Amino acid sequence: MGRSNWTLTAEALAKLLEHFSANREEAGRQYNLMVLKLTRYFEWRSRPAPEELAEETISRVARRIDEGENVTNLHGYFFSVARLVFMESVREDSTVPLDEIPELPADEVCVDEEEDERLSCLDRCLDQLPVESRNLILKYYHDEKRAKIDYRKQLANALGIPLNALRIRAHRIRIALEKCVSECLTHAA
Amino acid sequence: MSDTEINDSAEKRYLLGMCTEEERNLLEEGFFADESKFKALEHAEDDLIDAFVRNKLRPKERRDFTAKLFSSDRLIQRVNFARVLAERADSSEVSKQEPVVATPRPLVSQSKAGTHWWENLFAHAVWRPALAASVVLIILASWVLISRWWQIRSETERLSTERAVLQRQKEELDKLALEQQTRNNESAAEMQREREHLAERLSALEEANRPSTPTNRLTAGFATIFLTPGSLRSGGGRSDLKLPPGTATAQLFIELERNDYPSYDASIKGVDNEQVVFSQRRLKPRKTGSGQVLVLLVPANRLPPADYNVSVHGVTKSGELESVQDYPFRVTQR
Repeated sequence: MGRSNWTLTAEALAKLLEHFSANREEAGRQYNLMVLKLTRYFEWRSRPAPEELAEETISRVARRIDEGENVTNLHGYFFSVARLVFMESVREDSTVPLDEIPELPADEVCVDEEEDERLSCLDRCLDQLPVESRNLILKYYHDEKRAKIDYRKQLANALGIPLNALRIRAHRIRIALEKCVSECLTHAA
Repeated sequence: MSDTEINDSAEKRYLLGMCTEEERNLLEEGFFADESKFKALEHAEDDLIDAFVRNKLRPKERRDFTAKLFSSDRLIQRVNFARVLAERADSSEVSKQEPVVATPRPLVSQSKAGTHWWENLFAHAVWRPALAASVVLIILASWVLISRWWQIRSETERLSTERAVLQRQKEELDKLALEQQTRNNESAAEMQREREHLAERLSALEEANRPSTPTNRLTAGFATIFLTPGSLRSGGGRSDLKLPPGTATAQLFIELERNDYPSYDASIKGVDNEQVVFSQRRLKPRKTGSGQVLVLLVPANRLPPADYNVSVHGVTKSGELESVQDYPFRVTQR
């Protein structure tokens, strides 16, 4: 099955959401999560334009449901369709084999031309955080000479939370900071 | 475990593209179905990016990750962000301090799901001394209250016992008082009987001094008359009582024809005005040589010279009066 000209209608989307959950709000959340999963899937599979491939996958699933196909395991069905789209994408595209990629020093990869602005935006975004969150994120990503796992375990003990909870909390704050910095850079541009 | 920021987890190998196809499909099927597995991959990506920025990846890992960057603008942005975050974290004074709780953690909002409120409470060192002091205070207050309650309870029991003892004493005293009253009544009755007995003896002594024939006899202060049944005021057999000046008492010896009653009432009445001048109740008859007599001792000033009548009534056992005899006599002054 190649990419078709079928477009996702509102009715088809509604049917798709119903398959996620009877609760509209929960259905919306799961739909957005599925879009993210599909995008990451194609990205981690090193596919170019992972967002387009994710959109193609959603469109195919929604069309099947709209045409009356009985889908009992929606998440599994998405995975199957995503694999199909991936394989089609691989056939259509050619990527540079890994062993042909020159080994570059880390500091020559991802040269950040906006480093100063990014740093400035980060400082601004850090100031917007609650004190506790700011201290947590700075301590969490501080490079200790000892094993980081031991340092972070000590940090978790000091906060009175399990290590995994600390990891989740740090990830949440980091994502919020990344979004803040991205918006800051966009406005600066 | 090496000093890389993340261990050689399946997520790390997946992200670096180091898994077999079978492993990859298994992991992907997992994170499509399970949101928590997808989150684990996101966290693994964070760690991988940080390790790359810190130059802590193995050469092959760094190469594989670099290859990933070429195909993902998102990853590049994340790496650039991680770089400035690391720079700021390393330069921050806060991060250089040993990990301690800078501010008290809210007790409610940030508690991990599944922990109880008391676990969060005791987690904070700030609260522990206050809690310990509160517990000690509560224990002391409880001890004081219990001690006081015990004292009050003991006092109540003691008072109850005393009340019971006092009640018994009161009952005994009441009983004694009743007995004493009874004895007093008996004594009074005894004294009355004794007085009557003495009066009888006195009369008997006086009778013993009286001559055998009934005549008027004058003793010092006394005037005596003997009244018999059927006496007339005038003519032969009339009884006259002569009261010389200075006489204090008139003795009337009233002879009974028959002694049918346990006691007698006697009253002296003037013949002209029918006025009672003297009366006496519950008289006991006395035995004399001439028979049973009643003795009346009358103050002389009650008997001015005139004709009188002594009415004698017998008192039955039920207290009723029955007429026995009238005894007329005349009082004159010498």
